[in-house]
Amino acid sequence: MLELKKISKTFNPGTVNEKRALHELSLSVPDGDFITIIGANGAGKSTLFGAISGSFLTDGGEILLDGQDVTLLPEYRRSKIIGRLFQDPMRGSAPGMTIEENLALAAGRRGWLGHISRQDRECFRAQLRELDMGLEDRLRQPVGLLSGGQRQALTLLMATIA
Amino acid sequence: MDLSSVLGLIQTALELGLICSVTVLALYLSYTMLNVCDLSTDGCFTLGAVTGAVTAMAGHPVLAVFAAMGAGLVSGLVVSVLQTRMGVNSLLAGIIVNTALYSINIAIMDGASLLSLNKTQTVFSLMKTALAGTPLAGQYKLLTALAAVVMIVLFLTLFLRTRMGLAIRATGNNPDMVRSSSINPAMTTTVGLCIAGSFTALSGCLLAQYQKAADINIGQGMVTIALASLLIGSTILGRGGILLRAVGAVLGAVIFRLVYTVALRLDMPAFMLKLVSAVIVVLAISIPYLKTQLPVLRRRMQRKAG
Ligand SMILES: Nc1ncnc2c1ncn2[C@@H]1O[C@H](COP(=O)(O)OP(=O)(O)OP(=O)(O)O)[C@@H](O)[C@H]1O
Ligand SMILES: [Mg+2]
Repeated sequence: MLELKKISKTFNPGTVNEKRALHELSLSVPDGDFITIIGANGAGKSTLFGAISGSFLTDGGEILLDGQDVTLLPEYRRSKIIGRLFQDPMRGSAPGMTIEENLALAAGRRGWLGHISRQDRECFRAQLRELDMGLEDRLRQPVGLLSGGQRQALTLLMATIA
Repeated sequence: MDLSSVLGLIQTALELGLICSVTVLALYLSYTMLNVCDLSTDGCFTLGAVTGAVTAMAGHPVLAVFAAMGAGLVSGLVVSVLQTRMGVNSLLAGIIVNTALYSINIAIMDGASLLSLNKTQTVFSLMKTALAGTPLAGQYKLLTALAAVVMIVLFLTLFLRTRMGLAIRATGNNPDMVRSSSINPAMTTTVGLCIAGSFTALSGCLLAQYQKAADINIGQGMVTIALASLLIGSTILGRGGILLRAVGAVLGAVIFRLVYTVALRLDMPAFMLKLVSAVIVVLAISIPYLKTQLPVLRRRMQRKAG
């Protein structure tokens, strides 16, 4: 259960560039719901997701996830419980690292000193096969060589693999 | 000049190249992997040299190595805390720490600006004793330096493949992605800079023990020299895996030393070293860029001509 209670976000307050992107927005999302948010360009959709995943601190309000108040939790801590896809396909993966390295980092199965095992590789391959993009044969290629759509698909996998 | 003196020169270049390559490997971690240009390198190198020298003079040449690495680690920690927890720009953080280290280094030397290790046991003299009587006895300096380099290269290749290593590389590549993988980029930057600092200091410690002296300027210009070596290495072996690129960094350092030795033989005065390294850095960084500009220029010329 995700609950937003009157969250607001104004960019550049008090300047000529002031922009109120979210205003006292409340929303509750029960477990298992599949939700689509529609809005014109610049309506505040990305800002909403940024607020939920902790890219910035909201100006007011509370964000609760399964009853836990995550409003003040930094982004890297929130990402343990929230999977996320950026609008920009370049932001979700590290271009200079290989597909398997990106997946391993996102999966985070082993401890800090663990290496990628054969088992991990098999699992990555199986999951990549489902994307049906031929990525399962390119585990050791740098992500920077993928197309925007391929990268976004990989990021989706990374967001759900953990 | 006869063959034996040529070989002697090559030998010295090789030894110095290997010792300095430890700093190059530090930059391989901080500059290539973490994408942070750590400008405290000079001061940190000197810190390692003087900490090691003082400890060796107290009669503990092996402990000196670890003392130096510990000091370097703390220096790296300070740089990283400044830039990740206190919002100081990363270049500025390095410069500030570098400046502070100047005072600290003199304090460690107890006000002197030169320490002589002539009458002191060093890791090199220990190695000499250990190898006495074996066929390798004459190569004790080379072997000591080589041992250190091999250990660091092995450590780096193993470490950069661990989850922590991957996280450090990703931090240099795309911090957004690191954050969304539940890893704090401030933490990975800290770990990376601490390790790099300890390598840089180790390098300084070895150089001081090798030349049996540590002075306050021993590390001056090291960051440029090491960067030049790193870039030379990456033009030779820049496309391979982690191990290959680390070996490239070491090769770069050795090649730099060899070229420098040749230049000295051709009567280049020793004080030109820093200018030469500066020019190499500029060339190594700008040539790949200029290459990409070349087709545009050529097309323009063609249009003008046609
Ligand atoms: N970092 C920022 N600084 C200043 N203004 C911002 C920032 N991010 C977003 N905005 C502004 O907030 C408003 C909402 O932006 P947002 O990115 O949330 O839109 P969106 O609904 O995702 O649009 P799109 O459909 O184009 O992706 C826009 O007017 C935008 O200009
Ligand atoms: Mg958007």
